Amino acid sequence: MTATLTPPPRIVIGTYALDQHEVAALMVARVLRDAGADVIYLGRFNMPEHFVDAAIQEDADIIGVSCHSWEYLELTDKLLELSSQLDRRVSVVLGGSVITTSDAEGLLERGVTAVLGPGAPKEEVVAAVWKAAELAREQSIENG
Amino acid sequence: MSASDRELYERLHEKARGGYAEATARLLSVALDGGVKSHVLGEVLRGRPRTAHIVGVTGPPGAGKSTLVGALAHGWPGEGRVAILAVDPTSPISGGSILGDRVRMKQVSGDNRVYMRSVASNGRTDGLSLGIERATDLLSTLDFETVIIETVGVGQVEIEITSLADTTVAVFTPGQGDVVQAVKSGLNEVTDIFVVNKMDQGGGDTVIRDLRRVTRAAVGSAEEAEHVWQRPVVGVTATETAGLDKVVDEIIGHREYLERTGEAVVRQTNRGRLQLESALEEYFREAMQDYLLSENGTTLAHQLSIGKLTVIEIAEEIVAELIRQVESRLLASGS
Repeated sequence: MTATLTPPPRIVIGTYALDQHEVAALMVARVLRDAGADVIYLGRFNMPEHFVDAAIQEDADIIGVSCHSWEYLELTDKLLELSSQLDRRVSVVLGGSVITTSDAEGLLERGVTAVLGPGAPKEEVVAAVWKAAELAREQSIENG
Repeated sequence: MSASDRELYERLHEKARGGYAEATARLLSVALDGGVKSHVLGEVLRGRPRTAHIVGVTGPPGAGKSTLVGALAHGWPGEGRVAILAVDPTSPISGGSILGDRVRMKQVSGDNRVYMRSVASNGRTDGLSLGIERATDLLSTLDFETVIIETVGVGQVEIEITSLADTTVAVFTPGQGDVVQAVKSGLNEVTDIFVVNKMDQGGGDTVIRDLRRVTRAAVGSAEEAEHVWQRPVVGVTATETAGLDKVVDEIIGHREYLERTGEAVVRQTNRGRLQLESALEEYFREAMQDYLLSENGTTLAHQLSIGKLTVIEIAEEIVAELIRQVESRLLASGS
């Protein structure tokens, strides 16, 4: 584990819409659990509002989307828009085999906190998630 | 710090009562995480009416508890709001958790009447989680009509949920062994409503019949029957929402029974007792762990291990020290 964070990161993980490739999402969930995070697993068939709704109710620091199909190109803007409307800051982290380098640059510019490629080692995944959680907590304004 | 925290929690509480999920979520984190902030929250909750009916849903792993809970909440009759606390196990190795109950509760997303929160058991082994008493207490002040607590999949001895809940629902499925298992289980004696799920898989009728045989209460006169809860056994197929109306009816019927007989106060007091017990355990456990790892504690442990001292001799010394430590901790966290 890279950094200590108390309480540990809470991250919502799932796949978009009709993206059926669930194995990577489950693997990442296990890696993060083994690093000490609380993973709220959503499974498949999630639209941006499902992710954000879950993040709200779960008081999550991060929304993590595993992308192995084209949906991220269409849905991520909506996800960023909805998550930016919350009282607390929620970081969005994307990972997956289909995200090209130029896509990644664009996503980061538009407000995605981190993009993880298919070859990212465990340590990189864990470090990115801990950092994203830290960022979310720092930037959360204590407003009622 | 606690003055501004207090104002913040007051504001969040007001919003949460109006059904604002983000405020509910923030307050729940405070309650579940514990520490000084949860004491401040406790002050904010003082004197507020606790109106929610607390329903515990328990049973072995894979019985379909999450599916049942999601469907019950989504289909709950009337206008009242429903909250769910779903406990899943924490890894004893890493301290992390994978909380998967939302996968079985897809329908609650977008349902503004339902608030659903996944909770990590965090080292607790009785089917509940650290801080769940505080979380339950908080939710009971937020104008939810019903709060449903789903335990970790449990075996035969984890019955703490019955102290936390007003109504305990145990979920069974066909093919889990014969009626002897049900009789042996401590859970059987403290369950208010039995649900047999997965009736579509066959064999459910036998389970229902066996459960009815062991749960029926002996009743003399009709007057006596008023004061005896005949524990119902309901067959359902939660994935198809078949039979769920009957479960809701029984839960509401049990609430009425509790209020009619005065048993409601007993159960509420049980809940307070559990909360107190958990809080005291938390204080003493922390102090105890610190002491046992201290130089003194290590010396005493060694002397016990070589037979120089007895447990009682050591305990007398340690207990006095623990009380002093817990006292100073309580003073430090008072607002």
